[in-house]
Amino acid sequence: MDWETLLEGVREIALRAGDYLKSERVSISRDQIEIKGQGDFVSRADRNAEELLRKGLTELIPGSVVMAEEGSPEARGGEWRWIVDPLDGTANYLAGLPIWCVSIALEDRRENPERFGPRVLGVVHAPLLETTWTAIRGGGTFRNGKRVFVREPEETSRALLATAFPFKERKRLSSFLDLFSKIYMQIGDVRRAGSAAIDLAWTSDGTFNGYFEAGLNPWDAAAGVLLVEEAGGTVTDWWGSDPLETGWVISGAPGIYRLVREAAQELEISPPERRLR
Amino acid sequence: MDEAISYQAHLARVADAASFSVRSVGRWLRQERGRVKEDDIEMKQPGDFVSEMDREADRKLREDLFAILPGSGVMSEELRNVRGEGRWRWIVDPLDGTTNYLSGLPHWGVSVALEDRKETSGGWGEIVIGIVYLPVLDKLYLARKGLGAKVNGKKILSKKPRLQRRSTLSHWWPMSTGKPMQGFLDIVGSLHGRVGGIRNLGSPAAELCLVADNDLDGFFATDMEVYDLAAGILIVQESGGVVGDPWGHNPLDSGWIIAGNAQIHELLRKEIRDVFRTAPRKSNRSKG
Repeated sequence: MDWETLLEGVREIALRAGDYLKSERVSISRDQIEIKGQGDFVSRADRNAEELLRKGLTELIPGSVVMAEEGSPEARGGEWRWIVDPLDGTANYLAGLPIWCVSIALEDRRENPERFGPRVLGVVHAPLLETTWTAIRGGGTFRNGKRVFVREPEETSRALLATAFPFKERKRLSSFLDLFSKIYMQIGDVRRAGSAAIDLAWTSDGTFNGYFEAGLNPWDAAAGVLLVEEAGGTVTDWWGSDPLETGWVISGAPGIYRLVREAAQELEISPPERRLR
Repeated sequence: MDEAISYQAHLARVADAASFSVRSVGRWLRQERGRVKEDDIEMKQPGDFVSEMDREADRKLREDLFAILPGSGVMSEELRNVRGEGRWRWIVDPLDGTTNYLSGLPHWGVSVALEDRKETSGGWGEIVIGIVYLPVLDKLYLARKGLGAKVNGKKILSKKPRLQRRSTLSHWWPMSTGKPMQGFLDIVGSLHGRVGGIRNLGSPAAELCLVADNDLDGFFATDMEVYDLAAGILIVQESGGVVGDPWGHNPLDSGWIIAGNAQIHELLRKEIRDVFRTAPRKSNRSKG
């Protein structure tokens, strides 16, 4: 497969979805927004953007499947699977904050269809930030075409980390708060920007030194995880495995990753049941 | 009557001229940040780079503001102790959200307020103009006491509040990591599931403007400085929002602030007062 050509195609589709979402935001009214679980909004725009991605991406690789939140959260089979979030940061999008994006990853499932395969291509496009992050496995991470790398802080006490509190299940909150307090004491400051894919992208280019969260879905994380890896960072779940399986993610420049990972290990939190594959 | 009209006309001219200055200093800061390569910042130490920008922005603003209102005083984050003796005093934060500025995050800005000290006896005078410019988002917020607030020249109209469970809040963590931190963890834990989302955006001046323009539904913090708040408070109030301290003090004195629509303000006031029976002592800024 010609990865560069494929990436161009994916970027074009991401830009198209981004343009659509941007124009839709202007005309959307609050009444059109339906609620789906606490704090988790979904809109017509979200679904339309997903269809746009599904159509475009399956044309790029005939026979590929698409895993996406609205239409096909459990899509399996196929040698190539797209893991997409047409609108990550929905609450920001609806509120009027600029931190939302289109996230697209391509997963190679030829080796073992029973587990998440390696992600080979990732695109995160944030229209209102006018920023697009891209990565091809083995080829580095780029922001608006320029190579970027993760960044260690000058000292731990000046580190800037991103996170989000797990809001879907209150059970997870106390484990999470334990880790959060422990980390917060040691670092410079914390941001909660409201989009996991952008938090990971901002970690890949050194805006943040690291990022951790509990309970992500694969489509929130798939592209961003590749961005961080290809920018020289480390990403696993809290127990050292592929972060897509549990969705409990620790990422960052290697030193910051180690700091957060060790703190998580000391708390002896037991992993949630494995979910999607 | 004539005097009142000329007073307002005068302030209108002052507000326009100050807005122009705030916008151009903000643009200059953005330009400088873009021009300087990552490597240069690393070499120079990031802290040095930011304080250099901060100082230079402060100098530019003071120069403009003194010219706009001759005889006025200035109180700025850079020059804490320079206080004007006359009727007018500017309260200036040349670079609010320095960490964001340095890291490349979009929420940071320039904040300028004008205080009328005509009828004050020791406390704060009346804040009559509030200006905040967010360069990355290219948004200029301007409020005049009693005359409303505008964003990029367009009047901010008060809107029907969102449902509480769909609202997005932002807050700061306290500076000291002992009891106040635990208190905030309790508040955030209690709010989770009851509101739509909770952010930490890292620029109080920006966060207040986002509340004013309905991009955020609420904001709460402690350990704030006057420079962070003076302009933003007026912008929220003049947009129809409510601003206060959980115990009814002046946020400019206590450093505590709650801003939002009436319902969110009341929700946050209750939550904070449940957790903190009395206001924790103000501690000095170490983060941000």
